[in-house]
Amino acid sequence: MRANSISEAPLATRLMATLLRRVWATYPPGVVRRYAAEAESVFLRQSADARAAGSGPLFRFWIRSFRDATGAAFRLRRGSFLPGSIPARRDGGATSLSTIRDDVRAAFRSLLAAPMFTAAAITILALGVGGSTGVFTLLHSVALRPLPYEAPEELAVLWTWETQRELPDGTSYLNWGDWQERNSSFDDLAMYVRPEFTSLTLSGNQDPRRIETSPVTQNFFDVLGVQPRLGRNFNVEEELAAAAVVVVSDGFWRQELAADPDALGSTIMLDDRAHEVIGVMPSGFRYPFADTAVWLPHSLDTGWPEREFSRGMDYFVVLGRLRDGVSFDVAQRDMNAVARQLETEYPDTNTNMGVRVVPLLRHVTGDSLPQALWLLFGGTFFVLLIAAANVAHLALARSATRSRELAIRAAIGAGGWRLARQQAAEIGLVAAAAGVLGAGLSLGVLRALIAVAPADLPRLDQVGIDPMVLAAAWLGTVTLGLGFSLLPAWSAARADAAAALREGSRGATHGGHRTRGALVIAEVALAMVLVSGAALLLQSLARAADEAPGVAMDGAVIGRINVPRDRYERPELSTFYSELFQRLSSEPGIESAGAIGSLLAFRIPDMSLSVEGLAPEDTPRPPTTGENVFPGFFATAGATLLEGRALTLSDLPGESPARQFVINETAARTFWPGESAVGKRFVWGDVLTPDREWNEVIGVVADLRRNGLDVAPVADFYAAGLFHEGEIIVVGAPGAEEATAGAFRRIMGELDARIPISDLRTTVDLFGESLAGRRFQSLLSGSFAGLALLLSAAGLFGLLYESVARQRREIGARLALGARPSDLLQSVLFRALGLTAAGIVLGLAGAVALADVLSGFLYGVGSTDPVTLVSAAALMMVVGILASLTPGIRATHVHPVETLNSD
Amino acid sequence: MPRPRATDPPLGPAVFHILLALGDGALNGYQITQQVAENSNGAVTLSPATLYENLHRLAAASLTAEIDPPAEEADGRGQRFCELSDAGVDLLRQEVERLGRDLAVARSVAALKSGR
Repeated sequence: MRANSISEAPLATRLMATLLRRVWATYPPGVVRRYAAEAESVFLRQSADARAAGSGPLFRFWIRSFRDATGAAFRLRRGSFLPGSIPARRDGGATSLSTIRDDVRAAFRSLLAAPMFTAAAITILALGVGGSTGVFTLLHSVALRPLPYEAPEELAVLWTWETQRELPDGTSYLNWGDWQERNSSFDDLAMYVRPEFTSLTLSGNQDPRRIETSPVTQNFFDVLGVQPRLGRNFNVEEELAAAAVVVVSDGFWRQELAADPDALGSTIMLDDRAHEVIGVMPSGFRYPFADTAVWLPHSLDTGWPEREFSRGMDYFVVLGRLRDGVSFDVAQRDMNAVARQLETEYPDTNTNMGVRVVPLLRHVTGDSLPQALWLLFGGTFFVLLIAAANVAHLALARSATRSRELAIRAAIGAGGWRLARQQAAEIGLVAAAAGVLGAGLSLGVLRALIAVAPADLPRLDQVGIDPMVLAAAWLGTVTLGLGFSLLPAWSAARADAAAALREGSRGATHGGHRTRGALVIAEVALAMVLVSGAALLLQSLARAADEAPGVAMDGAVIGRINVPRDRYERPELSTFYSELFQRLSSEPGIESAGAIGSLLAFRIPDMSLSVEGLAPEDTPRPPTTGENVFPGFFATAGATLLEGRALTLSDLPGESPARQFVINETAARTFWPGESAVGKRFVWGDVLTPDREWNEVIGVVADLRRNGLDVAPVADFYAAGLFHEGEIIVVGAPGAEEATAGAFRRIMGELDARIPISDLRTTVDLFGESLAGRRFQSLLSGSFAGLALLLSAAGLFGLLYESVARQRREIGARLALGARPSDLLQSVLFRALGLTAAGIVLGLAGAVALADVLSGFLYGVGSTDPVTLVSAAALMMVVGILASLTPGIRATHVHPVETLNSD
Repeated sequence: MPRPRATDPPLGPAVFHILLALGDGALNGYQITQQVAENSNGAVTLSPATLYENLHRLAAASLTAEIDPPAEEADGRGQRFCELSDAGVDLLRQEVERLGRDLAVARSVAALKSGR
């Protein structure tokens, strides 16, 4: 196809054609009228021809077209060679629109005539725009963009809320029923099972593997307002009868069912049970999680229907749609009342149980994440400001060198306003070009951000440039650019013609120079805030990474297994584990192996206990977790036993309901401060019911960092247990992790090939991932700080360099009068140090003022940590000195006679 | 002294090639660029700005004239067709004769004679 109409041409060609049209628009009006449209059509056809010859010829053709077009602009305007084509001068009565057009044309030509200035200004501003647009796009996609459901602002997640400990909790089937009946704020309430209970083993044609499923109530899709795009949802009868039917995600349908429309009615094997596929969801649907592959009736779970009759079984998360016109506040008050009724009616289970209504968007993005992203956005905005200040610098410097020209023009009658306007037009053009370049750059920034972002960032898979965001960023830049351009324009308008002419080649206005000094101070201050913030975040990362995880890190791998419940009752399970550990430990190269329910804690630490001899009101209620381990785990994991003994096979659950526990240091310190915890007794829950006996603490181990390296450990209680789903840790020779993992896989395959291993990795990786978010933050803030440092150094350098150039005559005179070169170097350095110091003081004040904002993101370091702040200030100072060295040395090389003779 | 005009001999390569391309009959802008590329074996490529800058000059000096597109070329794109005016043909002839004389001289220069 011939692309001779602009709308059919490729994007790059269209952009080039637009650029050329701008240049052609500066030709004399007669030429434009006659030839511009035709020239464009020829350009498009020639581009299409050149493209066919390859990208090299195309690019060369474009360069030549641009060069010829600008050259012709000058020739045609000057009217050279063209009898009778000199454009008539506009008289004073010209309309303001055409004056603006003239301003823009003049600005365009004058920018072309100063390519260095133009290129530097566009590049600096584009960096600022590209960075901030990229980061803002990420922020927008992850935290601000509405969810892809019908009327998403009406959707809420309802948590049971433990009012005493301020912890969220799941909700039971019975409580959900009462909420549903008694509330007056929601159209409907649906439920899905809490995610820690929902992965299932998919088997069939390939190796068995774990997939994420979501057991839901029948009205789940209705509440979200999304229906299957193929087939149907399950109905109430199927829910109550626990029919084995599933609705699958678009991704699952494509991958596992070959995108076959006839897959409806086929069966898939989940945990060795056949399930009929009855529906396929649309491709964008990812609730509750991006990797949810299958939705099925919650009643299929093995716990059903006992759960129906237990108000204490907190398996579910409730999802609601607000009635029209009901606000979240009203709904919260309504649910508070419902919760109080239930508290009175069911004191055993519902005491201190409130309800918390959370907008769905906030539930999806979390609380801390948007904060972190806003922080990053603040950082990029600072960089953008510094960039804009730098462009203002350039413009001021330019207006200084042009001051004689401007003064002459003012003297022969051009109004100060007219001169100012033309400068504004120049900056406006620069800002516009930087906006376009920055938009392209932002795509690169966004790609880089996505590549380094932690994988658990919500909605990361849906990040894309939003045209509105891009337009807003572009508009912002142009506005900012015009705003900053007022500085030089204003100083040009004030330029005193006589003074400027008298000053000869020095020709700068002192006002402009003072403004530039202030700009440098502001830039240094902004950079100082960023550098100190980044330094604190990096310090936090270093401190967190230095924390000992309390687990063997050398040569250890860890993987999750799921032993099917129906084929492995308790005796088989016991045999399975014994055999697994026996085989693993007799394998050459493997030192030992152990098992734990989950090494990294992912449940809410919501256990509560009653301690023997303590009244309920005196019992501490710290965040507490309980976890099963297979005996031998602590030795394998390399956890230090501080007191008492470790768990043995005889501690596995037996006839007696009483259990033996090993607890961590934090638990010992919290519940039994100042005494030995070994031999102490406790019971789970608030009351000692008749069928329970006291549990005994038999040992204390050092804290394991189960919540991540940068989170303080909570109270952990470990019991010996056998579990169907858990993690196996295998310790082999350091450096031979691959071989160890391979041996583990092989032995599992020999034992039972139908048991899947998921998430197999080294413990180093496991704990490293817990710092992924922090690392991401540090990387970004470090990059911003580096960019800010560079830009502010460029500002300082530019100012000093230019000021040395401007004062050549003065410097020459001082040298002639006997000043030593070192004095001159010193005076330049002093000036640099003065400006930098002023910026640092301001920046430190800013950093201290913003300390509160940052404190939530820090670990192991205070938000006004003097050592860090002083180091940051020192770095800033060093950069200031480095930036001033070249101008300083240049000053010492001034030749007295030469400068005095010049001009 | 008046400035020489681009349409005074010796002609610039762009003007010369445009005149030459129009020597076989009326063409539109794009056809001119193609004809020029063909005549010069690809050595001369006219960018749109150069093409129309010179068409403008030629028209201003009445060396070319615009005509209605021939019926078979009327493809609705509104492309202007140009042909040489009598003055244009004269100018091209003069230029070719001048070049011919130069070429003859060049061929007789010892340095360019074969055998060296």
